[in-house]
Amino acid sequence: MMQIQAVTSLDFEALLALNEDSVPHVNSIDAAQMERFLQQAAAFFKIVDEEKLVGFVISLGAGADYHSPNYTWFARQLTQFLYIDRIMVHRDYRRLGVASLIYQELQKRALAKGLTKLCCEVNLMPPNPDSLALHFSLGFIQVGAQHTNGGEKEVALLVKSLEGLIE
Amino acid sequence: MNIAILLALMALVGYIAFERYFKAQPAQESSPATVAPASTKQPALRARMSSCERVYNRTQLRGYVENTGNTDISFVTVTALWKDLNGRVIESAVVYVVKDQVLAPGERREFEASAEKDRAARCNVELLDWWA
Repeated sequence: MMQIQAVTSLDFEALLALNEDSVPHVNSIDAAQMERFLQQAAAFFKIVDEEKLVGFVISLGAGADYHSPNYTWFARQLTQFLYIDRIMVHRDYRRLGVASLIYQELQKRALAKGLTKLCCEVNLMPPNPDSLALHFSLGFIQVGAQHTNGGEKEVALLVKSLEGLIE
Repeated sequence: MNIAILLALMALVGYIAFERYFKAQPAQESSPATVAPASTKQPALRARMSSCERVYNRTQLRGYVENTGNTDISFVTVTALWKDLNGRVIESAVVYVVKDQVLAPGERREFEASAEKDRAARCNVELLDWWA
């Protein structure tokens, strides 16, 4: 049975290996950067199945010391948000609901912090239709797009509003 | 005539004294109440390419990142780009320029990267991410 667990620095080796498995779709990071994410993340947790790491997520709130074209784009548009920097799922566990489980948990944690916007980017060029379809099915809508890598890469900027879910 | 000049000079000296001692003093007195705003954190970073040249069958890009803000920066990654004659990106690489050291305000850190594409005609560099 899959479980959601907190991340500590003891997990870094396994998390970094899982991250590297998805390069170049995500940026490569090292333990020092991961430590920085751990210090500043609004939500950073892992999914384990029988003690095996099957996925993890790093997300940041507004006001983090982090600067990237996509995080900065959302920070300019929104006053409060939960920005999903990366979701990694082990290749043997894809299409088994791990990403949906992560999003459900992120949504709970965002609402607990009073945050009503989840945001992230998905590649349009090179295309990532599976990820785009997953995000649309979860209720994300595209609110913008931007080019990076000298115009070689284009991302869709997605937001899911949680306002109707506040009790 | 001399009396007129003398009177004019006296009037001028009197005016200067008035400006300096009667007008300037209230401004000086009020200055302690005007607290200078604490300097706010204004992170800013720029990436620039210094050179792009063919070295045998490789195209070597040299560049730097410069902290143009007022706060320390670390974990800087940039994307190095090589383009063909039409401006199309034919190769890119992520370069980790500053790791867990500190790039202080005003400091620069140089980097270089090479592409194996010998048809690269131009290079460019873009900031990927960083922490401040």
